[in-house]
Amino acid sequence: MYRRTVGELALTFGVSGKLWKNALIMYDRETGTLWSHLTGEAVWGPLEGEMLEPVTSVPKIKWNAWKDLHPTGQVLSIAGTEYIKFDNYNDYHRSRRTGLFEPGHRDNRLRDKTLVLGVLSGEDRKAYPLDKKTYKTKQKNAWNLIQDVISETPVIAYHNPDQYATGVWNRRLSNGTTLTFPSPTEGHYATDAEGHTWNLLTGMGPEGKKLTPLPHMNIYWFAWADFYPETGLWE
Amino acid sequence: MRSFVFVLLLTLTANAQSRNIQNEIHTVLPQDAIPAIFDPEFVSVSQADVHKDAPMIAVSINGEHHAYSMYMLNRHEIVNDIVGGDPIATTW
Repeated sequence: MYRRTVGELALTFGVSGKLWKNALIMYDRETGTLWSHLTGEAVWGPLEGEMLEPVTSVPKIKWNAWKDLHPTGQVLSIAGTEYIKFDNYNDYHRSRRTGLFEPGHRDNRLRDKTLVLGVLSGEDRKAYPLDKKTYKTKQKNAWNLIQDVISETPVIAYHNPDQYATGVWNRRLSNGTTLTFPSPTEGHYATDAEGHTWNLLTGMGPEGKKLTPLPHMNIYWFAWADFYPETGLWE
Repeated sequence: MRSFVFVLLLTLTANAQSRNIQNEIHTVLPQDAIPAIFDPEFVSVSQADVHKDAPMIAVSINGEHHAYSMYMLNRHEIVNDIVGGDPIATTW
């Protein structure tokens, strides 16, 4: 997800019909420039070299979880429909195929179709596998957190496999304090070492404090590693 | 949509009209064969009819919250939206 504004211009994007490293290439209607939807970079055309600014989003979350979080939210509706049952990529997800083409760069640290949390922290890239057993605890709706440091940024990665949901945040507050979380979550809430509770899907904490989000993707390892061969991997 | 993609892929790779930036860009469909959304419409959470487990992509900006069905986005790939006053592109 990106801001569409480049300089003063708010671009509008269409589907070019081209793929780069198996991922969608967009074009903007204003200049005809081609953009990678995975990196936000303009790869050809008058705006070549420009980068779209990523917007932190929740890359995947179950409807029930999201609607409880945001009862005043709005849902995309197309021809009176907000939902379709059929995922026409279903067979693809079940298969070993890496898209229409073989990845240009294959990283064998993980299997191709492993789902990972791909995190962008400044110039750094790091992937955290989304296997359930890393996050599951013996208790229902209590999830293990990943606390890490990427270059000098202390991060926290939250994943709730029941709801698909993910949240990735900088653990350092604006006042310079770095939070640590000694225990698993309760749902999407986690309590830090000082006893304060934070919502790890919205980043909201006590007294109006808010964690700084890190852009991230819920993505297949083969795609992430093809775009970011330099990626770190959580082990 | 999928069989359509494969038929076109066979036709187009046979004619190999690809813009080879770093030899990695492949043209698989005509431009706009997959229709992006330019004027998205929304309904409120209470009006929306969505299966409880449906995977959604979601964003919150300046107190405004939008969600998009992932399976519906399979057919459009891009939504040109404005959330909390910010023009954004939701891509899938």
